[in-house]
Amino acid sequence: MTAKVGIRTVFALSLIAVSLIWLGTCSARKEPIRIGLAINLSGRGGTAGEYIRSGSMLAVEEINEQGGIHGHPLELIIRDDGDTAAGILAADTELIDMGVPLIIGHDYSESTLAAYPYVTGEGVLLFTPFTGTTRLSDRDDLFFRTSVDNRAYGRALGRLLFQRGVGRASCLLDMSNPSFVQDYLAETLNNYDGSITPVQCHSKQVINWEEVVPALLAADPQAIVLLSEVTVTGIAAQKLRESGFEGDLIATLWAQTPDLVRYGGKAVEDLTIITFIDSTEQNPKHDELAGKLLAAFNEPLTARSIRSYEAIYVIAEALEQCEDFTANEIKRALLEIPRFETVMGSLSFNEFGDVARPIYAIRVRDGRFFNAGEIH
Amino acid sequence: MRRIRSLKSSIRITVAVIGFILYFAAVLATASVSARRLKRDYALSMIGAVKTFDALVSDRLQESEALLERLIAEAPGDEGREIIDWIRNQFDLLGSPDLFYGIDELGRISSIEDQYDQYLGLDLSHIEHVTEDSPVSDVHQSLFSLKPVVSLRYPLPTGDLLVQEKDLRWIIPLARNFDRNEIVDNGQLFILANNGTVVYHADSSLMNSRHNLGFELKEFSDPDAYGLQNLTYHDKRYIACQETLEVLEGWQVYLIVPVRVLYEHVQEIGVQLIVVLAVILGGSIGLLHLWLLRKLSLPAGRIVSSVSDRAGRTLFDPIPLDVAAGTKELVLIVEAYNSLQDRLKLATETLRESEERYRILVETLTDAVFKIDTEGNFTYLNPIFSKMTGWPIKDVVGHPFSAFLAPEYRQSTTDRFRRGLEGDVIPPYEVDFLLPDGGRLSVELNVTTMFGSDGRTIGRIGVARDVGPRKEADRALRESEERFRSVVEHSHDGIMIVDDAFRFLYVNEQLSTMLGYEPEEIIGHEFGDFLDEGSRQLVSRRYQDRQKGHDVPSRYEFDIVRKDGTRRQVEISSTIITDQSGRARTVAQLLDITDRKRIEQEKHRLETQLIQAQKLEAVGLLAGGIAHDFNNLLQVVRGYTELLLVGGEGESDSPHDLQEILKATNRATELTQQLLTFSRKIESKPALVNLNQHLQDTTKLLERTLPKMIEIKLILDQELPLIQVDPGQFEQVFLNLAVNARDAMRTGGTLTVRTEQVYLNVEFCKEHLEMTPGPYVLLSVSDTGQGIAPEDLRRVFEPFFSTKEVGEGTGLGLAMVYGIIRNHDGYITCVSERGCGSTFKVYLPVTRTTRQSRQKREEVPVKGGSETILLVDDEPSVRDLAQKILQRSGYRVRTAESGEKALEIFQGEGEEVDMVILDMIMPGMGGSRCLQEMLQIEPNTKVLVTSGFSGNGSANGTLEAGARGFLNKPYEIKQMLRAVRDVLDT
Repeated sequence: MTAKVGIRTVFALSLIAVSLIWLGTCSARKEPIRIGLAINLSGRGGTAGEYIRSGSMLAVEEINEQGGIHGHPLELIIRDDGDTAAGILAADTELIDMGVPLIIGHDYSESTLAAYPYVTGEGVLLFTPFTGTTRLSDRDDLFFRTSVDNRAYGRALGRLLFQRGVGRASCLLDMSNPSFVQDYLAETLNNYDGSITPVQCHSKQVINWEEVVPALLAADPQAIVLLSEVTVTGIAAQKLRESGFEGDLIATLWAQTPDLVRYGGKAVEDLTIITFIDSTEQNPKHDELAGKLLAAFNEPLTARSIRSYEAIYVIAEALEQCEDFTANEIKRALLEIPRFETVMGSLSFNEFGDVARPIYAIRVRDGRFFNAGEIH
Repeated sequence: MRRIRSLKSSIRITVAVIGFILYFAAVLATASVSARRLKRDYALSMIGAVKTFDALVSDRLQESEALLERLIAEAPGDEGREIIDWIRNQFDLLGSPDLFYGIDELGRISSIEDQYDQYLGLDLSHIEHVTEDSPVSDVHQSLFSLKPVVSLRYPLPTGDLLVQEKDLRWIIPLARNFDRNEIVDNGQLFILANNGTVVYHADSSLMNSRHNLGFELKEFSDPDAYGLQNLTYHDKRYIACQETLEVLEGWQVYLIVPVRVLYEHVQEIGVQLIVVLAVILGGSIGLLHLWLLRKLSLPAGRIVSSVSDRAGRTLFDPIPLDVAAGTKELVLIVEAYNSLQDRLKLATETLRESEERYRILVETLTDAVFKIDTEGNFTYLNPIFSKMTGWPIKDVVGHPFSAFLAPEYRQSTTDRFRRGLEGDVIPPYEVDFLLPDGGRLSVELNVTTMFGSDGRTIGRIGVARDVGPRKEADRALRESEERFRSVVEHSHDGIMIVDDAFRFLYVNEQLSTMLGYEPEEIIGHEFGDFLDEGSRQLVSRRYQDRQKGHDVPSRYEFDIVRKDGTRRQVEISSTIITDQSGRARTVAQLLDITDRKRIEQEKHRLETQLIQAQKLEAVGLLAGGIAHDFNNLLQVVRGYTELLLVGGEGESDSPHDLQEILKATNRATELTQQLLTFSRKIESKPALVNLNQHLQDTTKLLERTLPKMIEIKLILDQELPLIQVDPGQFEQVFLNLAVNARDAMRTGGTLTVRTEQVYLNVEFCKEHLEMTPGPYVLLSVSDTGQGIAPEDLRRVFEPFFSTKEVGEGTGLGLAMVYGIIRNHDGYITCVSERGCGSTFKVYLPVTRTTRQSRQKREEVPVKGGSETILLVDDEPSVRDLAQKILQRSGYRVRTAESGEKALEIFQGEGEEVDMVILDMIMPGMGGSRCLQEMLQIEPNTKVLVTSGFSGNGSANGTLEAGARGFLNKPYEIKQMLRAVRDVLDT
């Protein structure tokens, strides 16, 4: 072979090799699909946000390990809203500026309500597993949630109080999330013939328990409903038990985290949580998911983490059906998929992006959550 | 065609490629070294930074712990709340942001800062960081301050538990110096708890949110030689230095730097390297290029120009060596070119001469030569073509060859042409050419394919030979062959062809008949199978001798054995030929000579009888004269004997008388010997003979026979060479001639006998066809008689022709002489003239050997002896005389008068007898039988046989019978004594 032929051959082969490598890397470097997660991590109850984050990150990694969305890696951009209005706005703004078509958030009804007009107004789909306010129900918008709204909770609570023969109840309203708690109470009253005495507090402020506890006990309630953040719920339970209250303590999924037991201790034994989330060991998929979370984050499976895990998979399934990754295309996909099979069973979105799911009574026994069954 | 690149261009490209490769390799190598060095530097910095940071953090933690323990020890009061409050105050004075609270034995908050007094009494017994044994909790959000904290637990002597919530922001000032770009460019320093939660990060949001950064650090590699690891964070590659915090097991300090930063540094260095190396290598390559140009390319170009210039003008002058610019290899090339030029010049001239020769050859061949291109058109024809066919060459060249062929040959020839172009070897074939006058010419074409210098087929070249004469010759040959075949087949002689193993390949009908076998019974068998053993050996020996080149007779005789077992004598004449395949074949002609042999034997017998008859006739003639002499001699003997007897004893003339008696006896013995010699029956025993000697001996005899008035003259050539003749037959010839001369000179005359040596030349032999040229001895016998009439002269050698009166001769003498001379390959003529006489000339061929036929015995003294000899002879006087002779010589003698008596003595006293002297001719038993009996008794008996006549057996016969010697009578005493001694000494 002459030197000339050799040189040409080497050059051609090099060119081909470089092209192939470039093509290969190009194909390997498909643009990621970015979605935002805006939750409370540094405000009160931020520990719960850690569970949301862990569940979401685990789900995203699993989806990317399976090839992503048609080869596009899914990228979760996490922002802390600090459970403040400024924090919510800052977090959502930053995410929207990064071009995400969808924001998972926020983790309280009040936060979600605050974010809703801005996010959806920017043409970004707002997706939450954590908001129950009915103010966002029955709307054809860019808002989707995998959590039931307060109408379901109101019906369930009313039913539960009726089943337990409770004619008088008190209700602690944590006004740090008024759109949830007030809505919740209103829906309960729509489904309850007894009397409920509301008492307000604010978890973001110093709570004067010496005033709150007597106020709750003043009506000699047979049950006290704690519509409060988890630490407040735990502390409230302690305070109430210390004051001699022996009636039912009922809480919401707002308190459905391990912190309830941490901060409630023995006082929360036999407390009932009205929730659509079965993150107990009775859930057949509990062990597998719990194992993954423990291995990855050294955390237990919680109601927060299971909901965020579920939400990521629902979103990913919808993204698989999208021709492009825009909010409206994601909305279309979410609405067109008839049923999503998730770790918590199956769900379907109605035309408004809301869901109907069974409501369970989760009770605290021996410091652990136990599913006492569906509330019919 | 491949593009050819100039040396200059090749040098340029090669130098460029090599330069690029070297440059690239140098850059890579240097970059690699630089990268490693940079990484090492980074590693040193990063590890140093991490260790330093670790030390700072650890020191601070230890310091705080130490302070707290000291304060605990120094705290006043006995109650936990008091202690805790005091400690809190101390830390508040130090400006510590840490939160201190107390847990009582029931797990309730017993003491806490006032701003959090709402939590007093709160049961924290279910919180891990309060209840766990580990002194430091996981990073968690403070229930009170909502800050990211770790809780440190200190048991108090009071049983309470002091909990210090340490705000992680205390690390921030320590890390300020290690922040981005302070120690390591683009370095990110952070601390992670053992579950991956951020303890410290320059991004405070990650701290505030207690972000699990550990989950996002992927694809950790093992530490390399520098102690650095690779990891992936948010799809970007980093090099990382990791260190476990000394005082807090589980906390990991990380310092990570994007790999991109390293590459940027390398790139930076690389750019510098690229520039520097480009300058250095570029300069070096450029100098090398220039040098190569100067030393290689330019001189090569000059050489090329010189060569091209010469090639264009076909010059053979040399190129000057200085064009090679002193480069050895180029100088050698120039020298080689110049040498090649010289050889090329010589080769060109040689080629030109060779071409000229071949052109002349082609132009002058007797065959036509032609060339055809691949399209089948003639492109060349030699002049012979035109001469052979009559076609002008210009009318043929450029036209297809098939147009000149007879129609019936066109297709086949075209096919052959095509196959030939495709590579097939086409054997010669015949076609008919069409001639201008419409005639045809048969030619044989021998065509082969031509190839160009590039190996491609460019046409066909061939030779056309006029086969008309050859065809005619073939036809004539076939006819001739047929004729000869007929001759062979019908020959009266047996004709055979055998191979080198003497196996029959062919026999004609006559030979088949001769052998009595069918031809198929003969073909394939060996010739020896049809011969007896002796003949087989003879034939084999003759064949081998011929193979070796020895002279062998062209004809010889042997016996064949027919199928019926009978034998026939044949004469073979053979010759060795080589067939077409080079194999030796023997062609032989066998002639059945059985009948001829029988006739010859009969003729020989008759001739022998005739000769013997003639001899007898001559003997008879001689006997008359000899008898007369004998009477005279006997008269002498008798007379002197009577005188001695009468004279009495003591007479002084006794010796003289005895001498006379002895002389007469000797003469008588000589006469008897001569007569016996002449009369003995002789077989043909040619011997080397001195003709002059024989003539002299015979002349003595003749002198007794011829009348005294005939004078005998001998004129003999003393230098006469020896001849190979039968002495007895020759004597017969001479006597016959002498007798004829005597008969022609009845009134007397002269008989002249002359010998001379002559050379018969070709001219003489042409006139005398029976002779062959060469040296001869000429014997001329001339008389001065009446001569022979011309009409009788030509018949003089005819049998039974005679001019003598009836009863004076048989008429066979000269016929016999003629026959004897012919048998000796000689020749006889007669010239005569009436009234003048006749001369018979006998030509005998000269032999080459010079040996005498006679071997003279050396004269040795006769010795006597003392042995005992048995003497057997029936003649008393002979017996007595012999006894006296032996006894006088000292021998003891026993005598016997007959064979029987001798045998009787021999049987009784045989051991004492040393030898026997035995007369052959005796009545009764006879000497031969007595000899046989004695030898049977004692095979070693020494016998000397004596005889006066050997008519019934030759001396050789008695010797073969066992006798040790033979003595002819009469014998001299010394002959006898010598013979006796010779036998005794055997």
